[in-house]
Amino acid sequence: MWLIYALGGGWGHLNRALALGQFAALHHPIKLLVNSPYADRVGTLPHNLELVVVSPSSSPEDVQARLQQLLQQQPCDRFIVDTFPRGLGGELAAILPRLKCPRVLIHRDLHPAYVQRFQIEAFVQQHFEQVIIPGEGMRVPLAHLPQTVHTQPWLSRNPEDLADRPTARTRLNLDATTCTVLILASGQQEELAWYGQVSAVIAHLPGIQVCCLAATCPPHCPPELWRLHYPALEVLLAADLVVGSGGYNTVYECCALGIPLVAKPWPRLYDRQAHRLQQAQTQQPLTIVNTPQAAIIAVENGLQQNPPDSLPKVPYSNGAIAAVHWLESLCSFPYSSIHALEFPPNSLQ
Amino acid sequence: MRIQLIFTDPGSDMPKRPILETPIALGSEFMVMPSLLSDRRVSRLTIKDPQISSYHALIDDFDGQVMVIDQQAPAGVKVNGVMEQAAALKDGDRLQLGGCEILVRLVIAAETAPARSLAQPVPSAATPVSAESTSASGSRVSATVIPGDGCDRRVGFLFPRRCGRLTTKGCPHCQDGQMQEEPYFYYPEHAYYTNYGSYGGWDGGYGSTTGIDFTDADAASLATSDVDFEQDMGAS
Repeated sequence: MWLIYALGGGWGHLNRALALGQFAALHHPIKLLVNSPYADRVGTLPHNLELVVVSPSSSPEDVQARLQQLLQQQPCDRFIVDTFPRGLGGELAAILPRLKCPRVLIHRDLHPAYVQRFQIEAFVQQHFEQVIIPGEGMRVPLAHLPQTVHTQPWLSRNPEDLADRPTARTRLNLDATTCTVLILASGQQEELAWYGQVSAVIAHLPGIQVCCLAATCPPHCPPELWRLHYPALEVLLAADLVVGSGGYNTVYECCALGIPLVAKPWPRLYDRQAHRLQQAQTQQPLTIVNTPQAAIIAVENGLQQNPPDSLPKVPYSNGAIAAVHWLESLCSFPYSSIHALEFPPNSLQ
Repeated sequence: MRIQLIFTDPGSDMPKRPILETPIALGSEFMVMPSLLSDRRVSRLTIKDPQISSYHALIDDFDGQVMVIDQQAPAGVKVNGVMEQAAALKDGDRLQLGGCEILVRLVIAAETAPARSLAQPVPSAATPVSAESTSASGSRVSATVIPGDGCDRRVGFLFPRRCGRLTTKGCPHCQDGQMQEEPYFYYPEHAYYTNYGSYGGWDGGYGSTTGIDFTDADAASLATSDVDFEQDMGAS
């Protein structure tokens, strides 16, 4: 069994882990531990892939106990940690040294202050046999470690799984031939109003149709514009232009499909959205904005610069598949089963 | 010695008020001007004007006396309307290089302004205050005191502010005081400027706005600092 620890708010940790898990599950039983509030929005999962959901309000001690339970239920062949080497609440610091299977860190960006304060570099060197960087390049803090490998960004769908542009629009109940702006509204609850404001104004621009993809209808967003579709990547080709955040999924999905992005970087505790967007500017049509007014102006300009339906569909390589190969190539020897391992109570560091 | 040069940039038609350490090279080509003179770093001020030579003039401090020296530029250097090969400068003098007129303000800051701790608020703009002080050589010069010492380069596009480093040495924004252009401040309210932002290789039709984008300073404004990591199980 491969156990993927992917705790963290929002869609990013959940989607990245699912992207990996769905391909890994073709050959290995996968358990995926998440606490995203969106976990219940995920539809049918592949055979062999089990989503273990802990409450977003769970404490680090709760998570540690759940992990211990999972590890004792079934031998673990790979212990894969998304983003947070010590765990989101530090709960892995006591577990990792006791594991006797290959431990792999999926290295999304981390705030340098966190890396420095918890001496993450030394911790990762000591406790992880491999570090996989899923498309973030060399700009992340641990990119220089010797056990690091790189892949393309991990996406929840392969190119052949995507609907073409007219079909994607039809699936969103949109006109198949009209220029379309997709608003990808995600993040903290208090951030959704920003997307709602942008949606409401852009809907009045002549000659375009607007669709706001979100888990719930954002404040200020006209309800008729709101749609719920998971994963968004399946219907992203409906868009001539996307308005979204600087989060992992939004940036790399738009980049993979060559869809222009108007993005607002939001502050996060660990992730540096502004930093990601700055890097992405060299690779894709992208405008970074702050205010709703700036976003609206950027949308107008973006559509003028890029006539509707002129974008080619760019085949992309899904880094999640390469990551499975990297994980499989890790030698299990001399590791042995974790099956009988017991953790002392209150072992959280 | 620090000197403030106040002029309207001929290229952008925007006002500029850089404060520079002597020696100061003035010209139209940054790379042509010397970076070092007698082992001293040269502040290089680039002014894009067809009448200004690649390396047009040098302003330097000779024993407390500030001089401007024409670097054999065809258009020459005028000081208060008089063509000069070399001339002493005093506070309030007006230089003419090609089509660009420059007001010279002699600045004594480090000697008179109290040291400002990093915790103190950074002034949003350096407002000159007339004063007199004594130069290192003992001669009295009319000077302008700038409140708040250090790097005056304004940084950030979305969240503009003064750089505020205690010294320009090692400053990544002005490159040790040598880069004085303020590319992110051509427009007072970016949100209402229709073409701001960069579309990368998308087009190339964005004219002077190409390259204006979200900056490291903006990123720093969004960055988390002094927070309790590992306390929020819903963080990302």
